[in-house]
Amino acid sequence: MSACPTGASYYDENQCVQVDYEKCIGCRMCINACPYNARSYHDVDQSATPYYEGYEMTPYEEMRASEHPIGVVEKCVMCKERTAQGEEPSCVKTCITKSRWFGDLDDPTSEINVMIKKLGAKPLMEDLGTKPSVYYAGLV
Amino acid sequence: MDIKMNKSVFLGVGAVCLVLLALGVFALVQQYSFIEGITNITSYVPWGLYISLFLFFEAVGAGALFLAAVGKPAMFSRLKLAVVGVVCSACAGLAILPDLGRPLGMWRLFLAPNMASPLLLDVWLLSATLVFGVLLIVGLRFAKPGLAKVASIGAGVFSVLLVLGTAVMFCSIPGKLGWESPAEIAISLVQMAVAGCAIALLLGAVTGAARNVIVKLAGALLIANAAIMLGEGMLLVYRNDFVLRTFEAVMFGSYAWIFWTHVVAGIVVPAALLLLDKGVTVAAGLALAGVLLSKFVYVVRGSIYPTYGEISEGLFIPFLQPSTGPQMVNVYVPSVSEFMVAGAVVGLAVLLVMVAFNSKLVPADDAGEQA
Repeated sequence: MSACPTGASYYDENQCVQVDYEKCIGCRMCINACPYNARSYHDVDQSATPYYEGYEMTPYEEMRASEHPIGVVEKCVMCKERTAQGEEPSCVKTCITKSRWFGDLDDPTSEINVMIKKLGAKPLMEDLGTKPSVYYAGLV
Repeated sequence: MDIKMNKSVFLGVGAVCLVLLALGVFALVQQYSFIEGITNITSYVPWGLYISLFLFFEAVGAGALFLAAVGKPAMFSRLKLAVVGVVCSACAGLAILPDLGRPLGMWRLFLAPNMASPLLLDVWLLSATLVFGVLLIVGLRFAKPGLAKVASIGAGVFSVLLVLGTAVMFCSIPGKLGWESPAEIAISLVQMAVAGCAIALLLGAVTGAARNVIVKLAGALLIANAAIMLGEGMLLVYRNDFVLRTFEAVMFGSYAWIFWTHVVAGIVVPAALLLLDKGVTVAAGLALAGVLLSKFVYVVRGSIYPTYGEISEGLFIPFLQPSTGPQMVNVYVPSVSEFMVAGAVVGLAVLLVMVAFNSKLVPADDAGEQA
């Protein structure tokens, strides 16, 4: 967060880390700073590099590709558009084994806090000062 | 123009530099077409050749400017050193530009920055160094003693702060444990001094008794460099923690040949030559090459055994299994495009220095140095 020189990385109102693509200059300082390898650098133009020879993007793919500018760093944004409407992130909703939970960590009665206590889930490498809000259970 | 060197050599070197520039521009256009594989920068190795070149030019530029700031006029060609310092510092900034995914957004670093970012140390300190370096050139060239004195103080202070700030920035990055060792701060400052001395010797910008001092000083600094590296290694062995793995990865992994070439040809051999005062020009060139190799090894060291590797201990993640030696991430080899762009930056630096030295900016009798 503090590593980004242009303020492109920021906390939203839910304390989820977001990326403002308008401000990102693609310096990749945040990739270096992130100890979780949670960020990726988008440096390939999908229209110039198709999945395989002769492949052409569908109109839907072209539309979605335009939402991901080239030359910036991307990360999981916790499905901001869905959570803003009170829905769960897509990965939580579609997980076939119900291995993921999403919720309000500040609410002690929320399902996610109940599961954290029940499973003994812990965040990773919080001693690095990253203030992680993702908890993992069943760590080796 | 006021060409002082052999005209054929001047034209020949100039032609080579222009070819390098042309190739670099071509490679840059290709790079910003964002074709897959045009560079070998990945999310696992986010910084590579361009950042190494930035660190190298920063060391050379800051070292030359520091000597220009503190050197005595009778024994140092301060103007020459100041010109090299400014050109190399500017090329350090230029080396960063092709590394950015969106270089046109650079204005945000000056007009809309995130003040908490340590990367801003580099931006502002480099800018200040360049400003004082240019003022120093003006003060020395046009015999303005007051300006030269103020600019000397500024250039001397900011050249040191620039290298210090960059080293601190690297050490503060939590995602790359390979960069966290504070010994790198000392190594960066020593290498800045080595680079400054090497440039002064290569250009013949130091004469008389000062030359002997610079020769011995450079040799001693190279030994200090080796001693700090040895101390860092010993400390890591005694600590025997995760950070040791990053050091082992560069010493015994895919980059081992670069590491040991840097140690032998970049430190041991030039140190011996300098302390014996034999082959000083060769030694200075080797020392500079050693600084460049050292910067490359340092940059990749952070990526090849990253912090998240500590999380993965005990887990089987195929991509993270060691490919060669103890390193965790596959080897990074700069692409042809990256080499061409880097070559263009080097070519530009050589061309600018050569043109400056053979123009009225640097008179043949260095009259401007009497300020």
